[in-house]
Amino acid sequence: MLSRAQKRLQREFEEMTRHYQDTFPVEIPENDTNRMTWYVSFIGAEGSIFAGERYTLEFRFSDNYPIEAPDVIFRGAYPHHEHVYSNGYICLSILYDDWSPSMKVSSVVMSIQSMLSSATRKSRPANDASFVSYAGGRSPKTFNWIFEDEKC
Amino acid sequence: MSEPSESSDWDMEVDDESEDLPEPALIRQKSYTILHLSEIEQRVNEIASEYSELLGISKDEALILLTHYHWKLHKLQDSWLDNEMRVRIEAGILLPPAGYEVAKSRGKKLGSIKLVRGTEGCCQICYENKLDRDALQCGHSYCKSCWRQYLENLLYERTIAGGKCPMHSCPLKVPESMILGYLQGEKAENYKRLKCEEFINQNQAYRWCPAPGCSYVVEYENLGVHGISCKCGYFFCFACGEEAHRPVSCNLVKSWIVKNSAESENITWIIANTKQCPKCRNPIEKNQGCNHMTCRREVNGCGHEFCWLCLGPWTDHNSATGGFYKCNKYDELMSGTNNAFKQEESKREKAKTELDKYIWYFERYNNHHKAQKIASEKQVPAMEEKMQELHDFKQYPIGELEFLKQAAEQVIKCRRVLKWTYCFGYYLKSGAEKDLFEHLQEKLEENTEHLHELVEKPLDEFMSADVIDRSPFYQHKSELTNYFQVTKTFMEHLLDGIENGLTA
Repeated sequence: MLSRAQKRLQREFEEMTRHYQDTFPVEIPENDTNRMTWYVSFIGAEGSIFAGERYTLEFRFSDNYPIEAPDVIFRGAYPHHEHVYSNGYICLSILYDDWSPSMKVSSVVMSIQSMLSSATRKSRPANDASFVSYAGGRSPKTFNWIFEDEKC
Repeated sequence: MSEPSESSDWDMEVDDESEDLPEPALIRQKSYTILHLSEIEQRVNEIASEYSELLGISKDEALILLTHYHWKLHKLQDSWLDNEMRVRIEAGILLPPAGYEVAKSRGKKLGSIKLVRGTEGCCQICYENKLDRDALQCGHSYCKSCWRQYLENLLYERTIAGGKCPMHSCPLKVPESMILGYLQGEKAENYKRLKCEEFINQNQAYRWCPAPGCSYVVEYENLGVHGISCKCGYFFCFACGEEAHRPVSCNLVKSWIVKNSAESENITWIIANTKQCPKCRNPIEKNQGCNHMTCRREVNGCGHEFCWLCLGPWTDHNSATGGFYKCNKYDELMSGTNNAFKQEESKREKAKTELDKYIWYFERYNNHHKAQKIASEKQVPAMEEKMQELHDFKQYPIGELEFLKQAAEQVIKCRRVLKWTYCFGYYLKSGAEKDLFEHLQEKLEENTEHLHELVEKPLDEFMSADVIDRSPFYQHKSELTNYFQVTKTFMEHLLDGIENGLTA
């Protein structure tokens, strides 16, 4: 018997493979029988400073998804952007306070892609080192994110 | 829930004092009501109903508007008169029409909150094709089980007051009737509690009783007097939430409390009583012994040996420099021109004097604080027991025994006032005012001690069965009542004096 979250994810997975196979390919680790962790990759948008660069996002869903937001971080190489920390954590309001159950994996990936596109130069968050050492292994949702600008 | 000034709590307070005595200022002037959470809910609903009628909208909508305007009623009214449609849109009870511009929206026909039932497509949360769905006016429809889960989650996150449609960036708020349709039993109660908490926190005329575990709320009217006596027995200041603290201002109380608890005092202590090891800079306290100091390795020291007075290495010291208990080098340094050394020394001396002064005031403050605590926790209940016994065994009418409790309570009041006068005295600059203040404080202290003694006098001699003559008891009563009156009046005068300036 699949849980509500699993059912919804199954439908999202079908939609992703149908509509976003080429743009946002999804990979689910084989050992994850619950299929509650996804790796979704995307390419920096044409015309942006990240154009052509491929990044992978790690989504972790809870049983309360989509009422509760997934944990989303960059896995492996991360873009040098002022809202992306070097441990892969992302400062983006829709992942925390502004999450809504009407959002889905594809809309999250699109938001992150668009966040990258709006940057005019590659940079790092000002407090990167202290945040990363403080963050340890905690979920990004356990922090009080302060969203400094609208694009954040 | 009548007018606050006529509430039953006020009457209750009055009962504690006998009718012919003048009321002390604190009670005479108070104009507040102690409310239970259920009464707050009633009040919230009353205001919502009132605004529902006033603005010609549903109660659901009125509640959303009031929450949006943080219960600032005038602001809501003004904005409403200014531009009704804009208020509706900003508060989230109306969808902005296509091409909406605030300036052009006056006088347009308005829609209002209503639930619609969507039947097409699938629920946008679970992606299932369920027919039984709800949507707000925006038409974003979700199945009932998803709505329930969504609202329960908002409740859990404590953001349900002001909760919006689950659709991302849809501005419509979820009306209370819908929330209560989905949340039942304990969850509905939690929602109502949250709603009330929101109301209390937003509203400057309300404050929780700060006593731990107390769930009463005070509704406050008078801006002059801050002493609030809660039904739980706690007596606190409405303005700052600390224990009632006449005659001291909230600011002084705050500095005093910070001072009592803060690190700053520890630092003063460290400055006053320690010196840093001249080599590794660890603070070292000299609590006994001679001037030959060793920075102990056992406690992470560096093993350096030095002289306590001049801080020079001990190897430079011998009987020629004064031996173990005196240091000639120190005398030279103090009489010489080494300013840095002298500055350090004078800083330490100053800190020590300041610390001594603080300790002097704090000890007296703390003594009264402890005495006040014991009196309210032990003596008053013991007194009530005695009164009951006198009534039961000797048939004194309870009314004739009230003076005992009043006197015991007066002791508590005096202790509290005296306690705060030490905070006041600590911050008061020397001068004529301080001299007068200290004189009055001393007098009140004497009166209080004497009253306390009288209150503690054992009542057993009036209790025994073979005592028939009641005159000793009435003599005691008259003495205690007199003293109670004197002390009470004196305390009031002291309070008024300090609050209005003693030498003005």
